[in-house]
Amino acid sequence: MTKRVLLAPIDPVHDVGLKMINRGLKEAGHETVLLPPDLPPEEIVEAAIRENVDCVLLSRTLGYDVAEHTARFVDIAEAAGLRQKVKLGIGGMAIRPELGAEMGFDGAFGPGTTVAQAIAFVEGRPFHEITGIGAERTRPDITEGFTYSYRHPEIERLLDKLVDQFMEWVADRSSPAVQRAALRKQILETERNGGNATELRQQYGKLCTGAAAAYYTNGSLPDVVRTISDRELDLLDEYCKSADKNGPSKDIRRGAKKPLVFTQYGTGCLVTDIAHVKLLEAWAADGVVHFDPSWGARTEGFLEGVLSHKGDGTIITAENLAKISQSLQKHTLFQVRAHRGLNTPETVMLAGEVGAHLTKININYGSLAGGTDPERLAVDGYHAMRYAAEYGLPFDVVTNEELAGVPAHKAFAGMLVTAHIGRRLGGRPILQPLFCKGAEALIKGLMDDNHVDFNAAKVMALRSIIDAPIWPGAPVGFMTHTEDRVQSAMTTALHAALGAAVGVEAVSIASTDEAYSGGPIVSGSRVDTLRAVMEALRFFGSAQIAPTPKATEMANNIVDGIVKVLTQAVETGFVPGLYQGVFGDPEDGAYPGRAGKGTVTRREQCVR
Amino acid sequence: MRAIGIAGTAKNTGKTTSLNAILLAAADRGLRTAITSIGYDGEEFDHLTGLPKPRVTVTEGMLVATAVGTLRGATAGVERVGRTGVLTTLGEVVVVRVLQPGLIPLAGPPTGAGVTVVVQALAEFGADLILVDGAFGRMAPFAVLDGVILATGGARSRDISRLAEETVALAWMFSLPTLRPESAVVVENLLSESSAQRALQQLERCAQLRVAGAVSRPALDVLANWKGWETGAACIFSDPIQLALAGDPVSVRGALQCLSKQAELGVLKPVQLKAVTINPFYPDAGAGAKGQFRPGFLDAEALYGAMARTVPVPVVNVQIEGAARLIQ
Amino acid sequence: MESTEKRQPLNALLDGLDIETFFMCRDEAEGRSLMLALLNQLGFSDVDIVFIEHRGPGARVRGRAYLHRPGASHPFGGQCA
Repeated sequence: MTKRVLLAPIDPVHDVGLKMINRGLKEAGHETVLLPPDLPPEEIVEAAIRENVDCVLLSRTLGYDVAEHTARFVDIAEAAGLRQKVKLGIGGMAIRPELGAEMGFDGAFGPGTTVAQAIAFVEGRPFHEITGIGAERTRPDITEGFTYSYRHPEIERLLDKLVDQFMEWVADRSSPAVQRAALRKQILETERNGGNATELRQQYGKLCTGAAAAYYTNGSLPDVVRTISDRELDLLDEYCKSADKNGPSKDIRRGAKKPLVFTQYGTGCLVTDIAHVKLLEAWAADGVVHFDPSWGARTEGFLEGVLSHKGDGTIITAENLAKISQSLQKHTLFQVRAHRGLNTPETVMLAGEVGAHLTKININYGSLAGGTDPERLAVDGYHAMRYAAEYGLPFDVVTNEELAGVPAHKAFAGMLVTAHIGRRLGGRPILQPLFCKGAEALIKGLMDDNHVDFNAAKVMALRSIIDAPIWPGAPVGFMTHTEDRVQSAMTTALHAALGAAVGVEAVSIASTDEAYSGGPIVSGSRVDTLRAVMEALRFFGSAQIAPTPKATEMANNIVDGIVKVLTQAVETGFVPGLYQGVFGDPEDGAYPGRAGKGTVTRREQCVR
Repeated sequence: MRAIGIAGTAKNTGKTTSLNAILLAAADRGLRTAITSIGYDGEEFDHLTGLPKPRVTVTEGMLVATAVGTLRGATAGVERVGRTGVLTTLGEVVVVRVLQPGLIPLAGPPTGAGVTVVVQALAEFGADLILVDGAFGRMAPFAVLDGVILATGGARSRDISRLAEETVALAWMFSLPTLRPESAVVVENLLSESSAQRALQQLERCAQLRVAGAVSRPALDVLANWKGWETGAACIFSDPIQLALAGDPVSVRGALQCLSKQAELGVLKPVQLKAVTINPFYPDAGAGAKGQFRPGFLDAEALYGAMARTVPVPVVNVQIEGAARLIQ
Repeated sequence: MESTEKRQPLNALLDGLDIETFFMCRDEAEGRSLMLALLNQLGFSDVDIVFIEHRGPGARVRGRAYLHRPGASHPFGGQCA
């Protein structure tokens, strides 16, 4: 509905902000009357009556006598009978929202109010929309619109062959992780229906090792782990409620659809994690990523309960994940990683059960640089991807082995294999190249001049191969951070801006504590990075960041390298290829993992 | 049941101190009191001057109408007893009853229409005396009430005789007689010289003019100089508050006195000026670093003397003598 | 340094001390008063809030204590006129 709005500065000089709002209102189809500055309130009121307006917007920039002038205006508006018919709003550099309540304006907006907020006020849209993000903020699907069709016929052909072999190989293979995932699912279902799952737990416990085995035997928890009390959780609930009450935050991208910004949490303590997550939400992170302890990856089986852990990484239990999921605002994306270790299928299943939105699955990284036996992780990864498809969870395939020294083309070859398997299973993989300064870049001098070319080249290479979503991680700028707060925030922000410029779907960012290893990440450090990213995205907008011609050369080298690796892999087979160094060898810094070696079973040998 | 507004002529004229004193005296007298406000008052620090402001003290049994959003700042124990449907930027105005004494921030209905609804609600809950706290010099919504108490003092002007002169002028406006219009010509808001001239051009002569809505001093001058008044004419304003808002009270009174030579003056709805409270305090910006204020004080005796001598309603310094005299 | 005795940290400051942190608080006003109170508690009197942004559960704040203001004093011995 068209509104008639009177805009008037209660100042001796004109207000730029008011002029911008005037333009915005006109563009939105409303009728406006903009009065000159320095008019006495009586004249403004007369004009409002004469022009028969629906709304009056005042502005005040000068900081003195603000209350006097605004109070007098409100009084005269009331005395003249204007208040019954007209909405009164006031804003400007000198206005604090409390002034509105004191003076009786229908809306009072401080500096930093956007044109969109002023328009929402005029149109009478609800207040939460006035904070910049509508109540209906949706959770986007990163994979939407992608066809996954290949643009490089040879690579497609090689992947098809490779994955055909693999699917045959994996068809009758299982592992304790696969069995535990099935048992856990049954346990959850049984308890949901009010049944008794003791027998199922015993079976599950028999398939566990280490701390998990001890738990199912005698209920004990490792020294570094404790159960979180109900009281702690109650206080945390209060905190979350008040955080949510302050409303959704300003948009990090000013309305653009991408890139989505994800931040990792995982201080070890569930309570602290949730406290940090509320902060991340307030500062406009789109999604949060669960980071679990590395010892968990070497243990067969999960503990149970709402548990805290004295060390890096928050333990994965059904209860912990459920608690985190519940405390998130409904538009916050939740990713649970399942890319390494001996529990990946169960992790994905739990992620699906608690309502997470994404997971992370990779066979290569976990087996070449993450310490898990390749054969085991290949079987588990396959089943994890089946769960991902079943629960409708897109998953990214991350190439962390680059950090160990594996060259990008080998890591990407592995990533494409996993993604291809995922597609065969009806899943929706997301490619996650690293925006990092890894060994390859250092040795070959690929980042001597700038940090733009090689990162851009990675994206270009992948785009030339397949139409799939790309989400650089993890976090971006890995290995370029120092402990200095400003440098750390800047490098993250610039890498994020590069991601935006090359049009990726999402980026994962860190905190300014990324390079600090002396203790856990603190809240202020998280805020700083988000603010820096917001500023960088603001600076660049839709302007371009142009790589040098070297980037194209680098991209071509990567693609050629991928073809070579996949050709070799077709000869050896995917899983044997992992052992034989096709996807990364000891000279690259890659070693097949040991955890879970010899635990893969074939159908005849399966234990029930 | 009486509904009285407490209007400050400026910020820091002791409005809230007066309110607290009146509440105390009313409680002593056993009156069932209720309070609300037309703006947000009761912050701990005046966010403009940085000096501490008193907050409203409530005692057991009092009724308070305030916006839901302010209740978390209350130290008094309260129970919700009703809603009013009046919305403010801090939420809906609700009625609460005080169970344990303490302090409470007040944010009530900012408009006359809202005040009417809230006063009605408070009366229905059994209040004998309803006090409506003003907000920083605003008083337009008080037109719907029975009477007002004016709080003035050093924060309004440091010139004692000027202060007295102004207060006398205001008292005079509040004492204009109630006139009932019979076949009066009605004009709407006369807020400027030009709109007054335009309105009068339409009439050749006039025996009774009713000015509905607001007036300004330049418009009053035009009315005073108009040649179209018939003999024995009358000029009726909506209420005394409109006149108090017309501009500097002394010059407004001057214009009205000129007009009174041409037409009998009166108001449609009377609002009584019940009393004036005085506060010698003023925020002294001179002494400190930029933006810092220090408390300053006028000579309290001199202030009282000048005011009590000339102002025709009770003048009270609540800080010194309490509010007992105000309660009648 | 000629002297071998330990220097007092505040004497080694050139001009000011900033404190950056995140306070859990209800609104910006509370965040400001928490930081000012913290700086006072630490014994500083010439203090100010350089930056504050409140969102969700609390506020990111930078508080500052001035040890020396140009024109008033400096750390190289003696006060200014």
